[in-house]
Amino acid sequence: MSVSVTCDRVVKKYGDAIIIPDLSLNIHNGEFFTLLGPSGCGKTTLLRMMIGFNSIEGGAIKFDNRIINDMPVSKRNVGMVFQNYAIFPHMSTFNNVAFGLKNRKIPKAKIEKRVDEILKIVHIQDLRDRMPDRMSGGQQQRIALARAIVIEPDLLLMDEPLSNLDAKLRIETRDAIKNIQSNIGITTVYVTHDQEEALAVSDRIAVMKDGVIQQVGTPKDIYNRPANRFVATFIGRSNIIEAKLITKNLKRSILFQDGFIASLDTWNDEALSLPDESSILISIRPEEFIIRDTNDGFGGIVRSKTFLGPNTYYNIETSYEQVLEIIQTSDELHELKKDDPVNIDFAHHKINVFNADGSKNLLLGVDSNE
Amino acid sequence: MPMEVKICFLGSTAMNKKQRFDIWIIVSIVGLALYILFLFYPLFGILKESIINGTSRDLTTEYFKKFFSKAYYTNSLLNSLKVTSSVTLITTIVGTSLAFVMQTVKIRGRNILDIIIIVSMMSPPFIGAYSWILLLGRNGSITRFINGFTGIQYNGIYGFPGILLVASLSMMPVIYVYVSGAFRNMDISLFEASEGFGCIGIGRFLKIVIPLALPTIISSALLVFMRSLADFGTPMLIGEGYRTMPVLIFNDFMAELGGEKGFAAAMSIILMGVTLIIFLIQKYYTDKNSFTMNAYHPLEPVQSHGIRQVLAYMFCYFVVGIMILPRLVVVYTAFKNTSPSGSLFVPGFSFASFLRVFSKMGDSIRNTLVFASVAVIIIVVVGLLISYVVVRRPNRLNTALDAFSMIPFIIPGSVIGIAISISFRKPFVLTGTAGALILVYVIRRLPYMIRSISAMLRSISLSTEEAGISLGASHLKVFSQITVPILAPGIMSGSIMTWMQTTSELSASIMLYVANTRTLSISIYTEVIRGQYGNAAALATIFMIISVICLVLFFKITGKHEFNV
Repeated sequence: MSVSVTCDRVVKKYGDAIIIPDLSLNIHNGEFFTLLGPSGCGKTTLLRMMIGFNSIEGGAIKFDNRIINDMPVSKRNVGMVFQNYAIFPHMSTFNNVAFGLKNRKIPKAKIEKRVDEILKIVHIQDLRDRMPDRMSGGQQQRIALARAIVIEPDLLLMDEPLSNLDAKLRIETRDAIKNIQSNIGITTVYVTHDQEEALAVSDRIAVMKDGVIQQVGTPKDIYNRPANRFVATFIGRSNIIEAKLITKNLKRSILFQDGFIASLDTWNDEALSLPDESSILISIRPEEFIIRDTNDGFGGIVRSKTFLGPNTYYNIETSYEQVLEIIQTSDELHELKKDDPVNIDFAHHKINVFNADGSKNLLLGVDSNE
Repeated sequence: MPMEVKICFLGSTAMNKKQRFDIWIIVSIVGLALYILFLFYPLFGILKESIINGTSRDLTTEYFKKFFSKAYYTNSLLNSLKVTSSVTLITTIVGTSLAFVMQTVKIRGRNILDIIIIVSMMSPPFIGAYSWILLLGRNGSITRFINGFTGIQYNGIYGFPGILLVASLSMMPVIYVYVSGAFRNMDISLFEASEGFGCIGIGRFLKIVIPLALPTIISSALLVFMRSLADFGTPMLIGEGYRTMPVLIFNDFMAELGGEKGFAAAMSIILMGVTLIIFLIQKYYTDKNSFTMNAYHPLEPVQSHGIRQVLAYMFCYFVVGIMILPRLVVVYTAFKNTSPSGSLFVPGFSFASFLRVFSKMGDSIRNTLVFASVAVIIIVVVGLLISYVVVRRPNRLNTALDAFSMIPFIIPGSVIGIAISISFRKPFVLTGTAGALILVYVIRRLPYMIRSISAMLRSISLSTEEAGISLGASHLKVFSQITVPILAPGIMSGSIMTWMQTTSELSASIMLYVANTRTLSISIYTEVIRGQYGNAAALATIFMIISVICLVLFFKITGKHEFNV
């Protein structure tokens, strides 16, 4: 039986150091939910509070409607996959996976059956009776996953499970985890600092920084409408440039430094209430730029380029202090050369606009929390 | 992401408040009680004895004044320091060189050389002293040969040179084993990199190799210094008129008449003061200069040619040859016939000495096996529990336990012997029982066991235990079914090492034994003192056979020819 998880004004302290000041979160039943953030943001701490390895100093964590703050780890029925796999080195694959079942006093025949089933699901039935010491990281990872899900936990927690695998294996295992999770439909909380991984596996993502949730949303929402400057730059890449908010022909518009004006229709209430000439930040992803033959957009000069197979990266110098990063589909016919002058525009509906300190998105479509 | 890992680690210790009052709290408290009873109480006893007059029971400083006012005593301290520093210097230089040559040059028979070195380390130093007397003593075979051949009157290697030779040979393996370990942790790329800068040969050895191994060299030199300073058997047997502190303490403490226990206690305090100062200097140095190395491609011995190879072979075989020589002498003489009084060797070979020691001193062999085994069982159980709370439950109490567990490192064996002897007469009668011997074995070897189990525990990731808990096992079950089984192979090999070193304990047990608690090492010592060389040789041979069996077992279990003391 899978559960939903609710964090209600949760606080984590170590002595006087506050790691998580006040965090609220709803994770739906059966969902693949990812906590994403840089090192030290508190994501692993929160995960360990859910399983009970870390105490909770304030607020409550609920599984469905049960508060589990003081429930011992063994009563919570939570499975966990650890960053270093934490395979018991002195036990065979079978005994590793059967360990949790044996603690539950399940009859031997039933244990054998359940373990064999799970080993088949994670595709390591061939390793059943082998010791883990000579196994690859990927194989150990599968044992760890099998061991965590065989006890049929209410909640599955994964702490950076792919960070010790090499790039190719990471993608393979990532897809396997996603498949297995969606087949057994168990609520899963996944911790990672790798944004690409998070985008690939998650139903929803919570982006964290300094113990505070910056944004919760589907991978698409978070990528397309980041709630603030931090999310825009942490998930994917973004060029952040300064501009001014103006009203032109009764429409809120953006005035760029060199006089270029772009009109948008998707302002939220906050944007509409700001006075004219307010400073704003424009966030444009490298792939949102369009190189024009006309005079639209602002002018620049190609400073350098990097060919990366399907795409080519350009660094463009403009009147802005920072060099803009632009990605174009590689195309020999329209290839730019170093020192070429260019006019760059962007897909107006794709860009994001933040207030002066970058703390809020000024466009519609951001669901911060839920 | 080290930051986060650290937070998580600390976090686990502050688990649920309910779990704080678990079995481990009891372990910590019992551990503390044991240290107070068996370490602090005896040490306090010795301190008390040293500042209270033996007859009037008044507070006094007379014993310390007596020591520092007479050249007879202060010279002994100087002698001790002189011989100990010389031994440390010689063993460090030769031991390090030997380790370097053996780790970098391919030497045939390396495994056998390794085993010889380790066996020499395991056998008590005074066996060496006794066999060097047979070789280079007043009546030694080499002495007679030299004197007969050259006509000079060489009087044998007694006093300072004798102690120096015997102690150096018996302590050198310590340096060799530790420093070899450090060399094995050096990555070959460090050598290649320095070669890339044109730094090769002796320059590379001095600028790269030695600095990298220096922390290990310093700490193993400290160990040699401590052991050599506390060594009682060697100067007692071969020192003759050359008095060192442990001999002085022993004589004053054991003398039936005229000896003063208070004075022996005061000298013990002084000796402890010296070791403490040396220890603190070393600690200050290592705290400032520590780094860790990890070799992906460890240094491997390579084939060398020409003069280099010849020199390397000569050096290794010469040093190891001198190490094995006294053991060979012991085995050889064990099979020689002796005169009826037992003090002279006569022509002809037989098992007579062996038969005699089996019939007359069989109990000391049995005692050795039993006492050492009981001690090792206690050491493993207590060591395991204390290491666990120290590593996994860091709180103030356990940090204190950790510090206490290291104290016996710096207390000379004879001081421990005296402390136990004066502290457990009444109401707990231990003096004169097997319990006293087992207790000193435990006190002296427990720190090593705690150190080695703690190191193993730190290398087991905490999440392995957390995984067990998340799968529904209790803390106790995780400990017994996950932690202990993972540690088991390491504990097993550690136990064998501990067992071997326990059997060679002399300096504390010599103060505490009575007729029916004699051990092998005590019997060897007393037989040498009584001039029963045949018996001593037979006992020492039995001792070496036991050591070799242990070593073979150890290698079988660990599957490699490396170990740490």
